[in-house]
Amino acid sequence: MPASISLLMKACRTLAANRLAITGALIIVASALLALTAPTMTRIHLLRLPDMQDQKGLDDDGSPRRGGGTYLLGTDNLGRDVLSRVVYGARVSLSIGIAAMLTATVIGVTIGLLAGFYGGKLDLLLMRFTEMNMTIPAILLAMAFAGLLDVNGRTLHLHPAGLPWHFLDFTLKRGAVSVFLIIGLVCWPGMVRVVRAQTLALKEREFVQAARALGASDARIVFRCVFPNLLPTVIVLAVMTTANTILLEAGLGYLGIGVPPPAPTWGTMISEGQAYFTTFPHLVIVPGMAIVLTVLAFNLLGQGLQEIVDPQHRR
Amino acid sequence: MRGLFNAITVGALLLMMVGVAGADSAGGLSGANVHSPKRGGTLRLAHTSDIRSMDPTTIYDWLEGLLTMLIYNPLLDYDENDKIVPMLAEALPTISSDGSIYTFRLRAGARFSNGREVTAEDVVYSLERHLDPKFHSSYANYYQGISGAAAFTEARMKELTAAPGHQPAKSGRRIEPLTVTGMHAVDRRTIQIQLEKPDLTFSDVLATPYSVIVPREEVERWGDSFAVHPMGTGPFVLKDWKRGVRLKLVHNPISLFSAQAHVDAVEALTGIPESAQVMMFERGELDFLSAIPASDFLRLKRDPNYQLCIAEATGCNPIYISLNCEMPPFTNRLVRQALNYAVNKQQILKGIQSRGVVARGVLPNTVKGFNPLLPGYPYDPAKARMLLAEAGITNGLTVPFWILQEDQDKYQTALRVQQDLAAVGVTLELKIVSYQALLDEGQRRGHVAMSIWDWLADFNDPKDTLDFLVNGERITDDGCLNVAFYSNPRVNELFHRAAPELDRGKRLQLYQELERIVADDAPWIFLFQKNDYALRQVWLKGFTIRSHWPQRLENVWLDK
Repeated sequence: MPASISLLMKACRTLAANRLAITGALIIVASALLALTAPTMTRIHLLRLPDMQDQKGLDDDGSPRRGGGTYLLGTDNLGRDVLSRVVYGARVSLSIGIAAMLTATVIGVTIGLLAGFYGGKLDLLLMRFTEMNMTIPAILLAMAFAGLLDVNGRTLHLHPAGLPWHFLDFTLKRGAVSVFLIIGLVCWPGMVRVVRAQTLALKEREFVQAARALGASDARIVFRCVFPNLLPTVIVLAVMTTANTILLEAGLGYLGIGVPPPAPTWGTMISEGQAYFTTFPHLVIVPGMAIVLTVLAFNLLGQGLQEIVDPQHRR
Repeated sequence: MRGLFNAITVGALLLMMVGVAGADSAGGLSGANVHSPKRGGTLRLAHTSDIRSMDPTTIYDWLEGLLTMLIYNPLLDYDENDKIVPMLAEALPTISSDGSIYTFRLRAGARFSNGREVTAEDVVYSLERHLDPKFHSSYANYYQGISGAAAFTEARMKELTAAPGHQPAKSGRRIEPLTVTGMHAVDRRTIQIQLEKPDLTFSDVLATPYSVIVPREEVERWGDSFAVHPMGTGPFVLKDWKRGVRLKLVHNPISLFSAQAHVDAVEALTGIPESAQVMMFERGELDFLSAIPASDFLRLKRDPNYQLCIAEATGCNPIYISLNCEMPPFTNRLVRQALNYAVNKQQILKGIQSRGVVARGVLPNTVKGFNPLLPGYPYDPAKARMLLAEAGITNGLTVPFWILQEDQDKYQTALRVQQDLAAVGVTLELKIVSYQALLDEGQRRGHVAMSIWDWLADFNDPKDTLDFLVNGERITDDGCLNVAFYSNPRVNELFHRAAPELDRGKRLQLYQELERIVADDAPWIFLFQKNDYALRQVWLKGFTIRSHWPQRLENVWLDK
């Protein structure tokens, strides 16, 4: 359809004009590329293994090495290469950040659509539930969820009581999966409100009314009429949410309840390097910069996209 | 200056004094403890974790021991040469010729801070508490050598089980014997203690912080919360305690020992991470640092401002990984030995700036009977793999490993051990917990398979460390210090033979034989014996560290 292609072209042109958004997008693409190619780079000896506690990584006193020389960004207190830890850390951060964003989006869009489309008591119930979730700071809620998980894991019994459907049970251990689920479970409420508001507006529009008059089912209306029109907003929200989920992942790592060591995550790197802040600041500054750059990039891109979706928002 | 410090520390201190006199003759010898002490001021210190208890039956932590000795007094104490001297006792005990009856006479005029005079009955009560299961003492084994101790404990145990409300007095059913038969007050100031078998370390036991004298009426008044309402005869009283934040002790004028204390108050901040402590110290907000973290060790050590202020006790602090011998896979000795061979201790030690020596056995280097000839477990991953294969482990192992993040050295060590063990196919799943959680769960039977610990001896004798940590007969279901839950009948039998031995040489030999078996059984990964360091401000005088627990602060003064 030529019309939609030209719309897309126009969107791209608007985005291209926004230099900040482009910078954001470039940073994201670059870090994603680094994250994806890290194992390959290790294989061709461009990058060390992130967990390798190298004897040569410490100086004669047993202290970390500073940047420059064989170790481009220096080593940490265990003699591990900071550069490879920060690159491998991007794998953890980005994958968990995006997986958590997807989780949050699925939850947020579902609740928002249901509340907005059906209204009434269901709306009341879902929105009060959402607001209740918003009153608790995300990091606290995430800590509470993380606290429920033991290192030995916790088995969730999802099968209905009385039925021996044990294939539905699954054991959750502390690790990447549990961390992205936890973050996803605390990041959705912001999305619900926007989705609901848009749904409320959309369902009164003529084309929805027309579909209804033609006898379309609720599901058909939601999936064919409402949801496609929500998509641009959802994309913007998703990009912005990713900034949050990445930050939260780093926060949990810093608090020692993220992906357990020795996995290189930016948050863990900061908490482990914190003690060396006065003597070897690179242990904190390098992962810190990585977090700042990535979060900033997602925010910039998100804002750029928002300007396309909502032209009035433009400065 | 009281307390023990080993030869190397003494040497270092002497060097310090010479250094001060030579380099800085104007500010001069005030650096050494020459001028008379100054009165007044508040001594400020900080600790990483909050304290749980100031009840002598349950103290464990560094800060808990330190505070107990400020608030309470035992009958005996050590002088600066590590010799036993009287404290609440008027003089050293008279000991019967067979070494089994100890008679003490209390000093006249010793009072608890509530004003009541200390009597012989208080001494009997204070020691008896350790044997009463109601108080959950972690140190009962120190006192089990007193005649009638077993019967007393058994009777109290029966009362407890008869009255599940834990109030035997109210249920009214008392079971004989009501007292420990071997211990009684002869008159108001005389106590006689009879031991079942002679024990050369009993005087040492009575100089530990567990043997301090507590007032019965306060214990009964507060019940379980006596642990947070301490009251003793010492030169300080607890003024104020904000849980998890800070604790303040003030000078106790009615203490018999009040004149020996020079500061007006002691303020302890709790829950301060090590690196924050360093920053506070450098801003002058703390009067001393109880430990110098790896991150700042070299920087502070090389700082000319602090060069004269570092105190050191070499190799007194064993760091070990406990392998719970009651939990698979560590029920198998081969697995435990394999893990010992798999860890590169030398490399770990380098990572913490070589502040210690590689351990070959259980005992710290500073303790009598330390055996430098133990073979130890040299780094040998090939042998480790072989032993694992021999134990039937071919597909590798996964073990949860409980660690602390608060303690930098231990955390770093844990990560290195994780890498070393991964190389032989043992995957460690790190469980980062708080110190409290580690104590609660790790000392409970059957809960923690693998965890990292350290130890400071209570006095300079192998019995202390070994008896607590590797005696199978001391295993309890809760609050058990034998965290490896290690029990070997041969070792247990050797404990029975060594303890009452009066020939010092033979006694040490028996303990060495015992330690050799333990080292071979490998209930721990023997890592290293860490040096203890403390850093004081120039104005803090009379401060020393000892190679055994606890840190003492009664006699320091501030020269500002």
